[in-house]
Amino acid sequence: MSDLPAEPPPHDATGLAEWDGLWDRSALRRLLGMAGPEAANEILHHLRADLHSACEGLSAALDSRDGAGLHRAAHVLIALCGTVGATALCRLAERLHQMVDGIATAPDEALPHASALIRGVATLCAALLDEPGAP
Amino acid sequence: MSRAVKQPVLVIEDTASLRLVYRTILTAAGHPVEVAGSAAEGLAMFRASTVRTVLLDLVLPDREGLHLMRDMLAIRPGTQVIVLTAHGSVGKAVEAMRAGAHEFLVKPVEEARLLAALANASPALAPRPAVATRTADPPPASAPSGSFVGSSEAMARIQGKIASVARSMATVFITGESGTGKELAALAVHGASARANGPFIALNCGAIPQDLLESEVFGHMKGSFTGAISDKPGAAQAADGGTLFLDEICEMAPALQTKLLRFLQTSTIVPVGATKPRKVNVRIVCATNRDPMDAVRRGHFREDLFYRLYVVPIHMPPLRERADDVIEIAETALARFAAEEGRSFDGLSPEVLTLFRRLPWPGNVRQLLNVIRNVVVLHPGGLVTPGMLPENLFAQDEPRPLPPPLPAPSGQITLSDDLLGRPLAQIERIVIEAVLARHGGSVPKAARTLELSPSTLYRKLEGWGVKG
Repeated sequence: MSDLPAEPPPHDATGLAEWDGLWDRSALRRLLGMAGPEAANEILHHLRADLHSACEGLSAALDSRDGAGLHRAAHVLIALCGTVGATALCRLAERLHQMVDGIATAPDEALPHASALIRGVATLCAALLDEPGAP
Repeated sequence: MSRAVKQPVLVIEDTASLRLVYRTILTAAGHPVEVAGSAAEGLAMFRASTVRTVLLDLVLPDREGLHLMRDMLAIRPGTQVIVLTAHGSVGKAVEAMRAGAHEFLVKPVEEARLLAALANASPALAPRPAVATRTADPPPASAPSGSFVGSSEAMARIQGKIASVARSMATVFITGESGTGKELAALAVHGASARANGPFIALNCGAIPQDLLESEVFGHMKGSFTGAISDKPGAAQAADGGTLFLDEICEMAPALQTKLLRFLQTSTIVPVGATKPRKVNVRIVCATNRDPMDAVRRGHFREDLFYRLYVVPIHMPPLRERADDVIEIAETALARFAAEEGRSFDGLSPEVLTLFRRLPWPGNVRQLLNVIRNVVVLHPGGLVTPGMLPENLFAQDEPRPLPPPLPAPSGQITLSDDLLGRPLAQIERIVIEAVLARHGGSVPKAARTLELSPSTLYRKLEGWGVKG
């Protein structure tokens, strides 16, 4: 197993109900089944770490209305959320990605999207803790 | 799941969990996999190995994925690079395709789509059904057989482009006015590709009723609709291992565009009435005589489908912009049609040559071929003179009405007085109007005096609102 990053701090799981039903866990479970138990743990661990890292990047960029920072974070979240089956979050990230494409300062209309994405990703991270295969 | 050994893959992706996901999927499918988390690491691993298939994220922390790809292709030409990009960055992916990428995938990448892209990147290893060496509809009988005719610079560029894109799997999007040879160009792409021994299937999306088009493209099962008396493979299945040419692609109905997009993303088809998808290996070439971007802007054509198709554009120039190709094509067609009809002609008279050079040819090559065939069929032989030509051809040679003159600041316009202090565009128009007036409105004569091609002058007049 590769060196694992430190486990990210637990996220607030409130708001889980908001996303309940919007995450198709079958995609992730099929992937974890394909990987086997040991690799599945590693995938989940890195997934949470990458989601947390992207979320932090998103928050920092939101604070400073950094368009490029929001763009980078959204780019990562599109792939991560889509891969685990969180389609609604994936689409939110796509919208944000398009809204700030090539823009240095994030426009006002992008800010609520970024905030919603941060909340959603935090909830997803908490939900991932409950997945079979999680340490 | 097949455990046959497949081609090794190098994955270059900076997000750790995604690296693991891709490795999991590819390993489960039988591919030996190496992974790298940065451009520098990826390049080092590429150099140290013999890998010829790379999955590359275009956005890397230390370097642009596009630049890395160029380096890899310089080190090992022929490497199949599959680039990964986010939905909003498809333009970047298209740029990568033009730079030599084999395929692009939009994140998040579905397992089936990823494996299909890899299977297409490895024709030597992936199983292929037996391919019949055949084509569907033969090229139009009125077109010269074989390659393009014409040695103009415009056509030399087209031929060069065809030669360079034919070898890749990239989708080719051909635009151009009606009659400019778009299907010939598609055939040329197919003929120069590694799929030349496979089928070339052409489908005109504008000529088939929309309610039958899905069946024509994807096939149908017996009983799936009234009149479906047996299973019928569609054009996509018939083109398996070869090239599918979709002409008048902008005429396709929105519902079918969605299915076409799915087909392009997954390389699978679902015939009408079928429950199971079928995998096919097809290279797509499409064409339209409309402006595809305009169709997208008007909502008639899906933007995501457009970007998926508009990877390598080829624009077929109108005949009036192909210098003396009109004469080469006319003489070649005259000889060919005369042989077919068992007649003998002595070429084109100087008057016909002059006329052909100045006509706008709105129907382009197809119109020219129709004119030549008309001559050959209706006359026994000899030198082709203007009297042998169809009468309606001369209507296109009539002088155009003068454009409305620009308002003069004072009195009558004189060239010397009104040139000074005016923008260049106005000076140009004043001069052109004066020359046209001198030649009684004859565009061809004015064009000769100004040393412009008649087509250039026609375009300027059209731009000023004067109809031809």
